[in-house]
Amino acid sequence: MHYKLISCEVFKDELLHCIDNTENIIDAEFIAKGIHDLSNAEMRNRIEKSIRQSEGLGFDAILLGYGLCNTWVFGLSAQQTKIVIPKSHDCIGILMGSKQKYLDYYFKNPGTYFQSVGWLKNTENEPSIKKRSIQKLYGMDVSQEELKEKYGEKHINYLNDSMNQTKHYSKMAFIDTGTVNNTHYQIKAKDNAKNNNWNFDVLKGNVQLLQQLVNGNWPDSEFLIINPGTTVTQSMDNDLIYTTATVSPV
Amino acid sequence: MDYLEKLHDAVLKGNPDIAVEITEKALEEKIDPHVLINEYMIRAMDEVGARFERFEYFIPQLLMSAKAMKGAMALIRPLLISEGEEDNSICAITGTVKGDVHDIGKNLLGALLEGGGFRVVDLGTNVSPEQFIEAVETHKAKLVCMSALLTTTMPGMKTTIDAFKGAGIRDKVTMLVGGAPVTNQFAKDIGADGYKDNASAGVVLAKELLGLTK
Repeated sequence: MHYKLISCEVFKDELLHCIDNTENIIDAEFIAKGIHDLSNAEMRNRIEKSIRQSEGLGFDAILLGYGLCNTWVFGLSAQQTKIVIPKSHDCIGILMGSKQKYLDYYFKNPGTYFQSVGWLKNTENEPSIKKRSIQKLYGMDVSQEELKEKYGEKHINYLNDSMNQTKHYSKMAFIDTGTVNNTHYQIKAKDNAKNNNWNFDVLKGNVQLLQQLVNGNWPDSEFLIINPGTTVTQSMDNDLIYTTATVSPV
Repeated sequence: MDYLEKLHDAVLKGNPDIAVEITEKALEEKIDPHVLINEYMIRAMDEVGARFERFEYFIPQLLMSAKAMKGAMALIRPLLISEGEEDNSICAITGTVKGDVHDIGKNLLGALLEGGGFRVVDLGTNVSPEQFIEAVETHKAKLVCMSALLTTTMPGMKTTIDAFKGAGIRDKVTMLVGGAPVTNQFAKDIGADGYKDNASAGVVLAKELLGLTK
């Protein structure tokens, strides 16, 4: 089979490993992780742009290396070529190899910041994304100097604390998928945990879902197949919400 | 009383020091605290919310306005209580659902609800359905606002609404949901009374649903 793979760069190392281990021919395209910082609509537009460019080129399917990642996937449609996407809340569930494993861990450890090699390799957003980010839109992407100048030094702590998304976090978990030499990144993650005064954990992940994605092994329980003429809409599925494809309205 | 307009401006422009200073002066001069709240501060916070929705105000500005309002309210509230006055403002319970520890949006909503005249009891983050129910009963709340930032924790909103149904008190409260992954469709599916994609619009909706719109 000949597949087009469009993926977040967060999976790049793991997916290159999987591509080496499949009989299928994979044309891979990786998109900046930073598009997650844009609005859902903008994120979808960016991924759809790559999808539209890949349709009608004879690929047997377009594979997406993405999770639901907020709600960008609602409204995504397939036109000429079927699209396949793992049923996962986000990349964490994919890297852990199971959405249930992810949920079990998460609810036992609320306030965990997850990291992986791909996360640590792609920490800085390019300027074009930065200036359109949600953070920027709501005025949260400002320097300490700007805050001081505008609101006065005595209010800095209040503002920083109020805008700190991770203030209730207490743990950093590094996901080791076992496919990439990650010693350097594990040390970095551990340092990040220490700097934040958080506990540190290494979780055993795997590339099973990513390998299945490129192998063309897509059980309903783990993958959503979006056939041409259908659109992803919301559903109230118990184990994973919002992954139903229905016929596009004409 | 011309100087009272400065209280409005201090809240609107997010200047906590001036807001506190004017409030102190006004209270010394025995000006009715309700006048300060209803005619100056709520009006200012309504405008803050409107500017935020139009992207004329950003989150830091909104936070500074909230701080100004809070500073003034900290002086006013004890007076209301010591006068033995019954607090007839509507109580709103806010909280981030179980498993979720994110609270920026929820706190902004809380600040704007206070600015809108609600008495807000914030349960913080990682709040179980039982805690929401207990708080509603304890504080005789009419409004529950639930927040979630993750698709993993969003189902906690449905669990909470179902728990209210189970406890037989669902029809006694208005339940709103919000947070980055939440949508109108989701709100309808889980039986919430409403959803908005920003804190300011959430307050407008809450007022509408509770019949508080002027």
